[in-house]
Amino acid sequence: MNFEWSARDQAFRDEIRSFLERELPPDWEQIARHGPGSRQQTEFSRIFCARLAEAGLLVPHWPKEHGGRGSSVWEHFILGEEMWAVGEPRGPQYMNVNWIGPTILRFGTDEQKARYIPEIAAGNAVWCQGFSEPSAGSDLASLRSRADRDGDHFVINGSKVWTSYAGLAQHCFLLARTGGSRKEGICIFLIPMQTPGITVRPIPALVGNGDLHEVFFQDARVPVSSMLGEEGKAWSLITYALANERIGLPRYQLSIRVLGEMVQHLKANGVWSDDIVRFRAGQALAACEAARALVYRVVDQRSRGLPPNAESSLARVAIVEADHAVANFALDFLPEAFSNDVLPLLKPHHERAIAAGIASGATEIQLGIVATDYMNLPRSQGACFSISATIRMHC
Amino acid sequence: MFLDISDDQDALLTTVSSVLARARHRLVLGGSKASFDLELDADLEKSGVLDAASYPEYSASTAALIVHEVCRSASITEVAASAVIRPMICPDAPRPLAVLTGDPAQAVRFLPVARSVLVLSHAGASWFAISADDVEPVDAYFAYPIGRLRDPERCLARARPVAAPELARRLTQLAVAAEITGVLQGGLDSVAAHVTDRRQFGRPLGTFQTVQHRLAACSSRIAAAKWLAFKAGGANATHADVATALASAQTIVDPVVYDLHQFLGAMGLTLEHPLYRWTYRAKLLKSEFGGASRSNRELAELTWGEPAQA
Repeated sequence: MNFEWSARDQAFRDEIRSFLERELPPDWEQIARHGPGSRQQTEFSRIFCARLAEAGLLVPHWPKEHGGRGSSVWEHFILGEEMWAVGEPRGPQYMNVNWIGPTILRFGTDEQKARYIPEIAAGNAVWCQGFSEPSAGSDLASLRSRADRDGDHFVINGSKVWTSYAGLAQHCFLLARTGGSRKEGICIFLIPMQTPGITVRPIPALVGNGDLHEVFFQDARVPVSSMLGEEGKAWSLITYALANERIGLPRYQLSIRVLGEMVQHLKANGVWSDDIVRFRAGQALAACEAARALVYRVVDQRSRGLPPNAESSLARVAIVEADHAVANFALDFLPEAFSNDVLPLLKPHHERAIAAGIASGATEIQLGIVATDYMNLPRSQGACFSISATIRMHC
Repeated sequence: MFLDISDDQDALLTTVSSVLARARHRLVLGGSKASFDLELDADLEKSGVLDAASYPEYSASTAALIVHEVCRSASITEVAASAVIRPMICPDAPRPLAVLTGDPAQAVRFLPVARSVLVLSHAGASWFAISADDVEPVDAYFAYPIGRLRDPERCLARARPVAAPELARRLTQLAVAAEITGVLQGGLDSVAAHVTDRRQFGRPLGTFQTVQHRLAACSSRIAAAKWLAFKAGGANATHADVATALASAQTIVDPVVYDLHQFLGAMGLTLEHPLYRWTYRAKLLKSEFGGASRSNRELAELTWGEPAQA
């Protein structure tokens, strides 16, 4: 065991902090309060990510020939921690750099790489993830959207739901089925959101402006060349993509940031002398550190090239508990702060926290995986989720 | 960063494992809740694993790892103070070692079997050797041998100060945290085996989602607290790291113990099943240093400062 950062890791963290100090504008938190899917934050992400790219900090973990600098797994993770600690100014682009780009780099054709990778590496692309459907939520393999071959095109029909960022995205990383059932017959398409036949409907929601959408596909024609990987064999690519997504976990950093701001506010108002307030603040902080401890285990395993395992789910459960501990602290001791702008990150944190146990594989799915794959409890008949099928770890 | 067990640590755990295997064969349940396995205690001392923290290649993390593993056993012995505190604070103190953190007249675990006592107080830290005549055993409600000093003043008069009282306090907090994670993991292992074997409604209890989910939540909490304890034993760990480990461990005791007893059912209420060996240690450990309320406040104050004096 070694819990110390290397000098290189520490230097990398310092580099990011210097960048953030220099480049985050004074009104950043006012932008962030609109939420990651908002127009304000999406537009800001194009400016901010372009600056990150210029500084070599947008895709440092990518290969050098594609704009990266060959950073380690830990450096990539440190980047995520520092971004979350200030409210994740990369907005929707965290998906591009963490898993969409790497999946295209691994499985894409030269044409696909040439088209999409430079744009992502320059910090100027917004993607959405066309995964969940009305009948395929936690059980992703039951998706029904169709892709039917017609000459040198596929015709897409179906619908997606809960699609984050769809209203402003240029591209969609879309799953659709050309045949088969369950994990067989699924394909990935990289398609422009401007394709005729695609309709986006925002869903008014509790989780911030512009975050949830329905996306309808009605005879949307996309060229065969937009398919990523082999026809009907996308499940292993999805597993790869989502395993990459595991790295995007350090949301506890935002919780710690918000908790610290709340404590300073309470101290300024003379409430810190209350034993209960300090008890609950300590408890919430301990929950965040518990999440960090388990996430670090996952990152360490990844850094050593070990295959994904149920410890990701173990960590995910702790992350959700931490988010809720901090969100509940706010509701108990600072309800008035939700009605003013004193703590701008409070509302986006709350909005993320209420979705934390649902998005990217519900907590109950994670608990099921922990039970069977980590604790080796017996499986119930009919339970078909497994680590490879359900490790869905984005924020 | 390397967040796994090293080869050297693995070798120590192999030794611990073989010592515990011998103890498992002589485990006798029933009778009093309190127990102490003298043979296990002697075997552990003889194996040398309790001194690991005194070697430069190891740290208190390794000691915490050993404590965690030993405390998973249903056989009870004094390991936490001996492995985590003694090598660095009072290596000359004969073991088993009991620790007094409050009123010198209070009842303390391990005192009836202890050969020395570490005293932590606002004034500092010290230790003194004791004999059986110094101790009055008390009726144990918890799964430890418990006693109190017959004449605390006379014992304290022969106490020798230790050089690093603040370190002694932190290591004691770390020892408690590691002991909690070990006993909770031992209880969880036992309950997991039970719900795997026990069939009701035509299938193993462990196939029911409500059982799976609650035990999985216990598993996540214990795993996190365990790694926080290991981190708190690291070479450059801070006081806040130790406070985090203790706060986390003490906070999870209530919900985990509740679920362990729920899923073992009536068998867990008997002295014929060892569950009490884990849960009735955890129930006492959660009150150390003022309990979860105090430890969480300590973490908050270390992080954000103490409240201004009125």
